[in-house]
Amino acid sequence: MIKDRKFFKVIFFLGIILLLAVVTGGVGKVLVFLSKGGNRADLLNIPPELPSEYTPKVIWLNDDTDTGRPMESSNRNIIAKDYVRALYQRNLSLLTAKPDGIKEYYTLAARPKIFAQINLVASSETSIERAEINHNLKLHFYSADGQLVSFTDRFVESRERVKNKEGRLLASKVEYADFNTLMQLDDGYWRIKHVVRMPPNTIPDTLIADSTNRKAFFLEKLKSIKGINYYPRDTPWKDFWITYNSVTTQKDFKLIKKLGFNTIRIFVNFEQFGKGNVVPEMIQRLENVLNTATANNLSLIVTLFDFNSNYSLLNFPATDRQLETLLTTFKNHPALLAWDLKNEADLDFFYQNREEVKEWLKFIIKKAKKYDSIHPITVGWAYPENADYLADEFDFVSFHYYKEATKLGEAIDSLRKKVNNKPLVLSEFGLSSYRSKVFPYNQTETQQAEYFRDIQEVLKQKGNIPSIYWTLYDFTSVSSDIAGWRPWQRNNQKYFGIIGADGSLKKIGNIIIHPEQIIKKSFIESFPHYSFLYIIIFLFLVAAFIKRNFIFSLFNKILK
Amino acid sequence: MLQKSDKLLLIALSVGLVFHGTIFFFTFDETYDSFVHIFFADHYARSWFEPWDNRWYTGFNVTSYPPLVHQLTALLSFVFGLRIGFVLLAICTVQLLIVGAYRFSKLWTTPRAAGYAAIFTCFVSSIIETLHLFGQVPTLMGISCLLNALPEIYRWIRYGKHYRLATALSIMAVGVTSHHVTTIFGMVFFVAPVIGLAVLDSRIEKNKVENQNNWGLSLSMREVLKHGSLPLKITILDFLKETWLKRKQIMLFGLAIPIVMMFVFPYFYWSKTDPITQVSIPHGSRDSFIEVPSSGLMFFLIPLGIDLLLLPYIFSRVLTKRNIFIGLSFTLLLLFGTGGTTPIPKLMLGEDAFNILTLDRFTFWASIIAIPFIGEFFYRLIEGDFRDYLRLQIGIWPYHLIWSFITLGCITLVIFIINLSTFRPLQPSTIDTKPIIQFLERDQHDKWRFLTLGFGDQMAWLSAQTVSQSVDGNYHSARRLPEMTTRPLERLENSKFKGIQGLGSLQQFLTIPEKYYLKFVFSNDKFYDPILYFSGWERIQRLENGIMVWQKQDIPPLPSVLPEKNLPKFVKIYWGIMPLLALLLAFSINLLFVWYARFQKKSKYEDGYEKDFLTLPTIKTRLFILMGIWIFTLSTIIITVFVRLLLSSPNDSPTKVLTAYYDAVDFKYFTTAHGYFNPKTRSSFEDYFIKLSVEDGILASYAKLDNLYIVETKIDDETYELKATAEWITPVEQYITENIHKAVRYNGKWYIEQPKFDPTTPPDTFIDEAFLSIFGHGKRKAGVEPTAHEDFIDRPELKILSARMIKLDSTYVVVGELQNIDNQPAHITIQANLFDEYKRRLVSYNAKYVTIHRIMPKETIPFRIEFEETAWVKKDDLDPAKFNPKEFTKFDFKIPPKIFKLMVKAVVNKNDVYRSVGVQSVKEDGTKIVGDVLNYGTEEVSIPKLLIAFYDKNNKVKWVDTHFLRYSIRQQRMRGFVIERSIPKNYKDVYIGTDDDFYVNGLPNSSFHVPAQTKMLENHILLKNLESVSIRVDAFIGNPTIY
Amino acid sequence: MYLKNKKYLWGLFPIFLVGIVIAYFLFFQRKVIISTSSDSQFFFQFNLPNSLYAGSKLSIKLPQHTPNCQLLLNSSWGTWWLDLSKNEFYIPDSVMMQSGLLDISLFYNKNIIAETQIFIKPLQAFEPLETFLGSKSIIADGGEHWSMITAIPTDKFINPVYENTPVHFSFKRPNGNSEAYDIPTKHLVSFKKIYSQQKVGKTIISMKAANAAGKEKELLEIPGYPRPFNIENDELYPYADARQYFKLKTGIIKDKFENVVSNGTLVSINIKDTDGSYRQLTSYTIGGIARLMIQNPNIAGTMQISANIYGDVESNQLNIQFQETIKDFKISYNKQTEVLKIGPFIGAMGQYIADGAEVEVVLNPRQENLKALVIEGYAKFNLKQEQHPIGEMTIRFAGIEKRINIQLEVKDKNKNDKRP
Repeated sequence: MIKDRKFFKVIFFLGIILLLAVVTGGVGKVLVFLSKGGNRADLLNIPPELPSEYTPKVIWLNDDTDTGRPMESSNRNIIAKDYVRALYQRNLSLLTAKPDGIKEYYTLAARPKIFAQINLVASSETSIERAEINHNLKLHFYSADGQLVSFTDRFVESRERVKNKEGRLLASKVEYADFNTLMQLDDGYWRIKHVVRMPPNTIPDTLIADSTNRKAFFLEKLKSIKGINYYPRDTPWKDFWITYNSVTTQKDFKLIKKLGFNTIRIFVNFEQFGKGNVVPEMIQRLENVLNTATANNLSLIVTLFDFNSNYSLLNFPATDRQLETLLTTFKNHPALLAWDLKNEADLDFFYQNREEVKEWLKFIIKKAKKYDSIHPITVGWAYPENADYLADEFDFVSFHYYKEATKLGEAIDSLRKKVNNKPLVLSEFGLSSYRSKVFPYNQTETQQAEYFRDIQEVLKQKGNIPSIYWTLYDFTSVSSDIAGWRPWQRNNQKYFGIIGADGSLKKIGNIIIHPEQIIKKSFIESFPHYSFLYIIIFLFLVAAFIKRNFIFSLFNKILK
Repeated sequence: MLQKSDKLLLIALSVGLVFHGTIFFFTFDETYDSFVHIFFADHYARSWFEPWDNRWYTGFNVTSYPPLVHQLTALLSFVFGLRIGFVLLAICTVQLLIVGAYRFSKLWTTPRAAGYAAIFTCFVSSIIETLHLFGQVPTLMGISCLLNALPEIYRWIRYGKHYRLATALSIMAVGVTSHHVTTIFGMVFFVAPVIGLAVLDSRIEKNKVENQNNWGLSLSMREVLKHGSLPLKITILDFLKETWLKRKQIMLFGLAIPIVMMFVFPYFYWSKTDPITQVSIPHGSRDSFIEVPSSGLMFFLIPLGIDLLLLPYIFSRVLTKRNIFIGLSFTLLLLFGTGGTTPIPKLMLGEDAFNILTLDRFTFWASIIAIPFIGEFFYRLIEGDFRDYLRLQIGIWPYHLIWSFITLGCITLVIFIINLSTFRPLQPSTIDTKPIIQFLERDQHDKWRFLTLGFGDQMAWLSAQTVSQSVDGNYHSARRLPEMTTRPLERLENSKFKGIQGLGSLQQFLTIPEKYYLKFVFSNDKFYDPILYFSGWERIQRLENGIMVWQKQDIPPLPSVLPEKNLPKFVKIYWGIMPLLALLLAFSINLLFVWYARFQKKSKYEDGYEKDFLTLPTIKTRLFILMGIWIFTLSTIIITVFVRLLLSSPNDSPTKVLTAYYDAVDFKYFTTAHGYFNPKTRSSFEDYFIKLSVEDGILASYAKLDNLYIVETKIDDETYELKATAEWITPVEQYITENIHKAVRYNGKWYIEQPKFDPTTPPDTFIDEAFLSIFGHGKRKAGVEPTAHEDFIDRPELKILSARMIKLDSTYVVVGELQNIDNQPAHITIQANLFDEYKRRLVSYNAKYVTIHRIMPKETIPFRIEFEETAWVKKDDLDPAKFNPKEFTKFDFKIPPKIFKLMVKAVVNKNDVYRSVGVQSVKEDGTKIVGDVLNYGTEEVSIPKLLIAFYDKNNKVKWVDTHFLRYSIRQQRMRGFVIERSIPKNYKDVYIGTDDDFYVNGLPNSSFHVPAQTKMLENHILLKNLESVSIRVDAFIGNPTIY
Repeated sequence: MYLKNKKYLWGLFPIFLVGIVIAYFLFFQRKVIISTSSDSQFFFQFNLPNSLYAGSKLSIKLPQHTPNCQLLLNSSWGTWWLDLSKNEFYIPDSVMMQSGLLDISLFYNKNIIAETQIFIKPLQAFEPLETFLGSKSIIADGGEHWSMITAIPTDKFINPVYENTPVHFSFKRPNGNSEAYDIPTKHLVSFKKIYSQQKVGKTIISMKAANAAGKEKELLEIPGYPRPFNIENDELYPYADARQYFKLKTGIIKDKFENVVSNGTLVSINIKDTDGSYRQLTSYTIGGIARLMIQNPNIAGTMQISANIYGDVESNQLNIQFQETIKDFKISYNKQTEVLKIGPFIGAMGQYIADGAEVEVVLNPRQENLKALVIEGYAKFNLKQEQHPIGEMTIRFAGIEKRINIQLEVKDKNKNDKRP
């Protein structure tokens, strides 16, 4: 007996030593966890150069004859960059009422004039949002040692908004003026020394409007479109451009052509395209999409500024630059049919400030017409009721419709009354064939097919309005920032496709290929999946009610 | 409540106050870390609620270190100033520690013995080392809070009175906010055993009820058995049952711990992403103590000190049944304390934890656990039963001999530790920071960043007194004992600057200073002069305290808006309030409440803690014999080692004498070096010393011996030939020298032959030379406003003659040539920017050594620029343990560059214009070019650097290379050189620069006109393969006669 | 610690509450938008002068009981937003001090009621007249290089003065004559190019605008690019002892217009040595003359010296003859101490050559060459001590080569055969 007592004692001690070792190892691991994961690179804090997203249009007009000394292109860019940065710094200070950073961009004598404004904004509890949209610089003087430069900034369009503390708009104004400016190179920075505001005198517009009226040709083509909204099956929405794969695009476009469509609507992600400085690689990818479309003789409607919900004035120049780059690059591309400037802009009326969205829309339409006067432009409204806004500005009115097919007729009629003879396009419609096992959602594929046929029926009656179906594929995964994080919203988005996730053609696909076919409806199919679950829960509740005092006693025992 | 404390505690407190109070005033500025804590305190004194501090590492968050000690010093600094405040806080911490040790010892021994333990705490070698050598006051504060909290936890677990839980938690909260790691590990090694003890005691107490009379909470079960009539057995099962009964207290305490941890929530919130806390410091405590005896001494022998002698007694007391838990943690701590000697700690802790945690803290905790038992040993030895037993057994005088021997050993060890830094200095000698502070505050010098070289840890004291920012910081100081280390290069350890992971290496700071806005370097160590000079820095002033100020011209001032990693507002306020709140809470609960309870006569808070008393175990002769043997063996080992050290003289064997000679030269102990020469043939010391002192050059005065391999070949038993290959680390290059020495035995001792010196005598006795000296007024009217426009001197005009971008396997290099066409000497910065085909800038870098940074009017110089990225940014590349002159982090070109732009800037240069040095008898010898460098001027060239430019057929620079000569060249003397003629094999031109790629002072190269050089330049030596080479000399003058 | 079962029911209640909150959050979350816009208007017309001088007072008078409205001003330097508290409102001075077009618009409840523009004219030029001198030093090459003096006259409130305000410049040139010009300001600046003349020196520039004078400026005219020059040598010791130095001096280097080049101009000297090797030395000019010391070669022959500055600026070529210093030397070998003694080395004029000259001994069988230094005229080799094998050796010094063969049994010290 004594022997095994000793044996137990040894085991006990060894056990404790092991325990202690494990615990110390564990504690060591915790400390290691706490001290790993930091990224060494962000130990070095280097002040950033010009913020990449503030990119107004800068044109150098031809210089005066005798500017003292000829100016080199590299210095021209540096001076323009520092001039834009100086104005941006003042605009930022007016917005935030904080004067830091002014010291770098204004000479000693000029700083009090900016500080006076900042103190006024700070004391009056308001914030002034201001942005210069374009600069046309005409060089007058450039000193021999390259330290002084005098130029005039002609016909500057600057927009202002005044808001109170809670962000309510008090006033907004657009004004044009010339600025005689003198800048001095000091401590490695070009600083504004003098500015005199002069009455604006206009400058000739470089982009000549299209006289051959090719737009009518595109409007005609629009009438006969049979379109599909397109995202690849595995990389929809935000993953499309980042993980772009030209082979999948070629395969999908061939499939779309086979299904009998002749137009595709795609979406350009504003942020991923680099906001103001458009990323060259992204332009190459968009060009590849257009070329694949021409190869399969499909035409494309390109929707811009996707996922951009920043309507502050400081973001206007960036949207302007991306619009200009994309439109001027692709306006002569054969596959391009039309531009959709903003997907469902009326949704932003809820989340953003209504006037700001409207101001941005007016601004961007005027610019779009200037950059590409050939292709028709529109905005895809989320609800037909809002589709009349700025209708006369657009070349055709496009709207989305997901409600019951029966109510589509009257919606079109009321819209037609408001926009009279403007051509209409239904740029998004569709029904999801989502049959959830848990939540009370149950649309069958047959309902989807019937919905498609009914919508086509109504469109034909209303003077065969062209339509673009949402969307080609059932997606494998949908991220939560598209339609909401709740599971039934996310899963619903997965089943709008014509082609199922496994690649098989769904019922709606057959209807599209040969529309006259009658849709067979099977009984069990309409029986909702979620009903089994609800039955089981019900049974469980009943059982719980009968056995209730047995459960109480069980609870007592545990807690005692 | 406060028990009638033993008188000995009061003695201990006063001894501690006097002893530590006086000594810490003198030793704290020699320690490793006290200045770091003072710097943090200064931060809190300047901005309490804003944790962002710009002064180190281009800005970092002070939430990377628990704040209590720093905030208290900050508060004290408002009254006493930073230094005095810090010392006062340290003294209070030591007092708290003594009280803590006393109350902790009362858990294990009788109050009287606990009194002895309190006195002993003032002389515990590990505490003295932590205070006087490391200056780690937060660790002491953490451990004292832990020790004070343990008796409270014991009483809470045993008696379950809620008040005890409150006191325990409040003290631990203070512990967490001053040093969280102590508290976290304290859980495992201190709190758990004390909880185990409390449960065991409450189990034993049950026995008390049964046998009433002479109940004793005996320390060993057999004792209890003897007293009690009934056989008492405490099995493990009883123990577990008892723990189950106590589960309410244990669970409540367990749940409260995370809340206590939340007092430093921002530390945990932030340290996950803050790279500063994650730099792995090469630390002595992880070496194996056999290979690196100095770390062994520093992190094992010194902290344990007297415990080593009394180890058998401690183990006998600790491994009893009652103290089994603390016994286990003591053994485990000792095991971990041995660091790398055995693989077990690495296995247990896991690879990463082993590399991140410094292991000396485990030995420190082991020595803390040993305090009660050593106190008890001294009590029993001086007035307890040991005394009678020994007097009886071995007589009175031997007894006196024993205890005086032990106490004497203890005291000498203490004296040795405190004065360790005087024997072997840990830090460079103290630097008077006043002149530097004045320099930084004058003329807006604090609008740029500065860098200190050779300051060691005093850099933190300099930062604490100024607002201007430093590029590096002193967050971690690698605690090695430089002077004691065996490997010579270790001697560079603390003060030599190696660069910081994620920020850059020293070479990067000096080559592209404008990236860090770095303009001033304060150099306290001649070692760095060559790097600074050859990277383009110039000496402007030697301050009164001997520090040389170096400056780089043409650096833009810091922008007014600096990037900042902002913590949420709530976290900042939390960080400012919580630590002090914890302290106030602890103070109110423990002290004020005691007074209130006594006033109210609350019996609710009484518990039986004072009533039980612990009996000491009976003496066992076996213990004495064991201790006797152990002490005897230990002391003999120490004595033999000591004697062998004393007696062994270097002249015992040829290798030893040669190593001793190299060490002496490395340490510049010239008299001892002279002592090693063969007495027969050696010249007098004065003669040797004069000839040696004349020798200068990168090897003689700037190099540090890295390691030394000696091969002995016996000629006959009187003479040996020694082939010594030595690796030297110099600021710019690594050299391997081979020399043959002859060792001769002269009456029993080995000596080496004296090296011969250069006997050439210069032809002229007196040389005079016309010398260009320049002065620029700068701001002509003294005043605060910025320099007026007319006081600026124009930037000298340069002309870039040619430049091209070449590809060498995976890296890209820009080479070229430029001329100063102005009439004033120019200090130039050559920067190349590489662009890809979309005109996006990939990288920009400056020319480092491979050019001449100061050129005279009409002079042409070649240059070569290689591209680096910030050093050690990637996860796996480790910061090299020692200074690496060849440190180069290649920039990996993911996108191939297509074109480059060359930006050259010039400013008027005022000094370093020595040009009276040239190359002669240069000829081609096979694939090598040989020749001599001749100094025909009036200054001694400390380090001549050859700049070799290879030109292609149409006279454009093709490749440029440098070669540092090893020895200085005195006036009218010459040194030979041999250089490779080969151009790198995989050489491929990528882009030949045209005029509109070149910019001088921001203006295009084409706006400068200079007559073209049509004819083949004379100074291009034609080589066999029809290409030509030209060799220029860039002379660094160590100590110029005219500044 | 143990709940009676009645109490347990109460435990259920909070769970129920939480359930409701979650349900609400999931299903009924909808944003509520409120937008109010009432557009009551009232009529107002500004009657303000269309131009004013900077710094003058400007007040806006509103009819009696107008509701409080706001004023948006756009000036040269930015935007101002003012609340019109009372009916009589003065525009703040900081706005009126800025010259340029001032845009005033009156706002009531988010829409513009009235809008007008006033041009604020700057005043007269005011002390101090700010002037900048372009490059502060130009090369005096008769007009090819030029600098520029720029004046920016501003008024009391630091506004640039009105266009075409005349600025008077006057220069005093180094060759004595003075010039004066009146240049109107264009686009805020008035500037004058100053072309370089041929004489090096300082040009003093003064300027005045209306009654504001500027600080005096100095323009330096500096010498231009050097022209070919000649070099000469002196203090020559014509023997190739590789020890003595001789001096080399350039003539006064001048530019195209006979101005002496500035101090510090670097001259590189290239030498082809007597033994075919090259030398590259550098020196810089002081007062136009560059001096340096060149060491004698170690082998007799002619030394070609020429100097140049980059840009085809060549000097003449000097050819200097050097005779050899040492004709011959003796070799003796002491068998007992195995010491090979070479010497005495007697210079051209019969003197011992200086210590430190290198004697090279090549051990033929193994081509290992040892070096020994001449000390007091003799070079010693202790063959035993340095363990070198005995045998054939060649000894080289100052271009002279001797071959000897040491046999163990060589008896006669001074036998001096030259067997191969």
